[in-house]
Amino acid sequence: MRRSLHTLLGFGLVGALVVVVLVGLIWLPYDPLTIDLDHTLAPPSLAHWLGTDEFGRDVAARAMLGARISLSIAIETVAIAVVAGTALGLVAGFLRGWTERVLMTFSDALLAFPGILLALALVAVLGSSRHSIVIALAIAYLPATIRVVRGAVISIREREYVEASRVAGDGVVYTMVRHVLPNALPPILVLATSLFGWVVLSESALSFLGVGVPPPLPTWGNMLASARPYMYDASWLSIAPGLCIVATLLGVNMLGDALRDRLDPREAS
Amino acid sequence: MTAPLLAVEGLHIEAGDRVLLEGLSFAVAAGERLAIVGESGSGKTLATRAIPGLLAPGLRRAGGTIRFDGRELTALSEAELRGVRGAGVGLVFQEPMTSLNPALTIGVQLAEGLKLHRGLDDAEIRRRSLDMLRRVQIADPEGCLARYPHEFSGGMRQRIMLASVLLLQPRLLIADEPTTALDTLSQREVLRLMVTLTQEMGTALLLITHDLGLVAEYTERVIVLEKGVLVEAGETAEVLARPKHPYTAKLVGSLPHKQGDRAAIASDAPVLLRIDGARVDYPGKPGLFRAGAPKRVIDDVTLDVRAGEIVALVGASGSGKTTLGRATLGLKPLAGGRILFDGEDIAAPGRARERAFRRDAQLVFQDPFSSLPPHWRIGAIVGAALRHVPGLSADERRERVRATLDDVGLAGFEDRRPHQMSGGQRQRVAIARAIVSQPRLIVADEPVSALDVTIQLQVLTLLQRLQRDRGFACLFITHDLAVVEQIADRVIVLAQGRIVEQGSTDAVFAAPEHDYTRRLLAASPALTGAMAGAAPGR
Amino acid sequence: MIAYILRRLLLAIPTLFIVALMVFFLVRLIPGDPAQVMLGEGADPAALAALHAELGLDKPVYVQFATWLGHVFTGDLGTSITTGEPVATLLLTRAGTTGVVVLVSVGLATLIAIVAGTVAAWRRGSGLDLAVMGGASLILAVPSFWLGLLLLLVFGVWLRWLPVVGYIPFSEDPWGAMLFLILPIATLTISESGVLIRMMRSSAIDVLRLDYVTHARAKGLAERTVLARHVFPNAFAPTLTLVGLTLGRLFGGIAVIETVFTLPGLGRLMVTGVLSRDYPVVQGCLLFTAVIYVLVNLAVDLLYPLFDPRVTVE
Repeated sequence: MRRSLHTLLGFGLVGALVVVVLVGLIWLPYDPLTIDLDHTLAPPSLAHWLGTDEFGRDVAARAMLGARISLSIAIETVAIAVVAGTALGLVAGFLRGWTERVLMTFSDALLAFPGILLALALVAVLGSSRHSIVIALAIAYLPATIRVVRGAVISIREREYVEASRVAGDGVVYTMVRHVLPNALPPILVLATSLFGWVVLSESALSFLGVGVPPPLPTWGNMLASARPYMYDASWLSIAPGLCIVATLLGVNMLGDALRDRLDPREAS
Repeated sequence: MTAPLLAVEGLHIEAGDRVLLEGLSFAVAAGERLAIVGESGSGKTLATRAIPGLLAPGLRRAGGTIRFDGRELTALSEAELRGVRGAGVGLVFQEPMTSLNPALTIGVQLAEGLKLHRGLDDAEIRRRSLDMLRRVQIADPEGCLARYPHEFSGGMRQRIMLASVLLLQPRLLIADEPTTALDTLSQREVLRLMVTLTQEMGTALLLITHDLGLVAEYTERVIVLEKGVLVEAGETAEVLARPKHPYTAKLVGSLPHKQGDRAAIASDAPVLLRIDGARVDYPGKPGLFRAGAPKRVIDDVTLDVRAGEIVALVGASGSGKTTLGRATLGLKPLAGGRILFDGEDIAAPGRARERAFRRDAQLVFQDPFSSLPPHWRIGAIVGAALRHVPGLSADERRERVRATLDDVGLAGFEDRRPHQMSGGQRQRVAIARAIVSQPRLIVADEPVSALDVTIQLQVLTLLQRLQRDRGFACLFITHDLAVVEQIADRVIVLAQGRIVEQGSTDAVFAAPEHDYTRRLLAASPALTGAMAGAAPGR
Repeated sequence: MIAYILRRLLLAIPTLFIVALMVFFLVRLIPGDPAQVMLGEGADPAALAALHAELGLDKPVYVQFATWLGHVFTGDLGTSITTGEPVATLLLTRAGTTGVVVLVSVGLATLIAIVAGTVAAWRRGSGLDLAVMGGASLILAVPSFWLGLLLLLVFGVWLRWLPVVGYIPFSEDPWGAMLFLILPIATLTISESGVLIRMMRSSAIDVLRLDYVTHARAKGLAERTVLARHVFPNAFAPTLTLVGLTLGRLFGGIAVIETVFTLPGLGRLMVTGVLSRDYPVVQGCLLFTAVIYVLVNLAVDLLYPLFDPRVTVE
């Protein structure tokens, strides 16, 4: 019972998010980029559901556009990290020996850099654009993905049905594709959902620091950054974008938990 | 007639709305040895956990009384119950690997109970601990106290557990499958110790087991449980020789035993498999800068298997029998010697030869739960090897799978998945998978060890029938000598990677030449002869 | 045991080497002349030439790397382009601030996690457990910088109990310094406890299932003794690994919290370095934080056998 409530909430939150993004593709309450200096820092009202920011821009509209931007960045990043990580993890886990050692040493070295700093450094090198954020974050989360996949592959290849495949005369590639990969998918999927949450967090952090998506495009992170000087006068500006982040992460995490419960009942809490 | 030490009446255990144990009643007199026998799902473990009040969360004692040493245990408070635990009732478990806390030294773990119940000072505790360790035959007791559990083998850990429990001098010792996870020789030592020590201390023993051989040899009375219900109780010798309930009869009848005289294999039958001076090494523990010295797991083994015969490969865990089985199929590289199948070296290059070998030699694994790919259907699993058989159309393959499944008694199971099937059914799928390519040699690696005793008989019988019908040779790896007696024509005894004895089953069992073989035979209580009219409590 | 320690030490070396390699090549990834990149556009030719010579840009790459590495070993991490201070000094002063916040916060968070996680696992499925899990899940969903902003809002703006902006070094005024650090530490403690609680709870649940816990109970030991002596050491080991990873990561990773509370820490140094293209600072920060990460994890590896002696055998 408790678990299905969890799942339901998860689906609900993520569903609401998806709806908001889809709706935002065709309709926004106001143009998020239009400046209206006559109506700056207006508190929430019927005209502006979440108020206006320091340039008179509608906060709700900006939040909706921000949703689209943050989520699309997250999807791209996760896709790249998972595909690259799975490929490298499969190779490392199955071939072992020197290949594995070299790969894991590089991966560990990459892990030694705190994620934020690594992303910062990469953005410094690649420039501050949407494209470089995706690449920077994908590289930052690549080691974690490789680790998980490799771990799964190592435990799977010891299982007897993999040995049975060899006894039947199957080749290495066939065994990897037909036996190892399908059984590695559950932990990979679970990782992907966790990754999604982390990327949304990281992207908002980068934007908050001013190194993320450049203005005037809104993301929840940079909306919070620009809200700081107005904490005394317009505190709602600091609240709304944060709530969006929390709601997204709650939904994604709950779905991730539900997914984990279904795919690997042993791991269920 | 004095009151029994333990009297359980109408014990009822439920999980949610499922009844796991129903109306169990039995008694144990002071100093008596009682066995509770049953297969998985019989509820035997539940009964033992219920007595000291240690049921897992989710399980509930829904009714019944437990009288121990004059007190009603179910009416005691938690604090009072804790006083009974350890000092009144001692508990020994099955898994030696997880029964001791890996983070604490042996000394600390042995001292805990004594400090709690007897309030002794450290010097006295140490003296008693050393004394008990000596009694359970641990060499170097002083060193043992300072070490951690992971530094000891399974058999030694069980003995340490025994010491830990007996230190508190309980009046009742409950032993839950205490030797199931140990190999044959260790089993005998540990159980013997348990019986001797409890006799000396006047402790009653409640032995939970599925192994009727152990029951016959060590206990005075036995009760039989089937699916949570007591079906028979009585004196051990009587119940085993003349079982009254059909289930008990089935259990007794399921014990592997010799089934009449074997047809002799013609001595001019062609040699199918020849292992010639084989050596297999495992990489040693790596030192700081170089790989460690390799460990020799198989040392100069030479044996033959003729077409159509069943050869048993017997040994304790660590003897190398599993490794030898894998090496026979080319799954482990040889460090020396050769393996010839049909006269050809299996390590010789050539795709065609290798494919033919894979068709002709197959493997049945031990664990029915991990040897079948969970994401495939049964039909696909069984037909997997047919991919490499040339000249079969898709229809012919389907037909072969259908016929093979039919032959193992699983007709129509093509679309099921492994998790929907029981252990016995899965093992039959594993056998089907192995025979579908019509191999001439099957290596069976402990194929029935993980199954309940009644299922064991079914699967063994199936294997025997298939072997008779299809005429394949079989290298049967096992640690269970009773199984060997039932199905093998010849037996090879392996110890520490070397062959210590080989010969026809009848000859070796009747007159073992090597000391190790003799010890193995003596340690297997379930052999025909030892069972019938066995005097318990030897 | 000695072998275990030596092995761990030796394994750290290749990782550190690759870290150094990566840091070195990172700046070289920017297209164009590295000296020009470092000094910016309107740099005067003399300075450019001097930097060229200092960096040895006309020599082969591996020589440059060796020179750079040599400098690093003597403690010379270059000079900041924006402030002219030696990078090494900058790093050390900033590390102090970050260090205080991180160590105190992670310490508190670990204590909270041990208690909450163990109790939640012990009373699994109860209302208490649900509350703990719910709390942890909520914490995981809240970005640390937003939490910081909220706390600032509540305690600094609305209630006016604590100062909003500023920082005083300990040496000047310990009490005043404390005031400024309360909110950042509270924020970080709450933020990090989420994942630590979940980890502790999960491993405690695993351990509670094991035979030796039942065996301890069967000896008649009181439940709190069972939890403290048998469950805790075994359940804590995986959490210790996570604590190590967290400590290592946070040393450079609390840039956002430092920004929210305007603390002069390592993270903010890196951010300003990136924004102002001060590459020696960027390089120095990266190298420093990565080395700390490796060292912290090494320390954790060496502590691990205290909780799980099996690990020395491998």
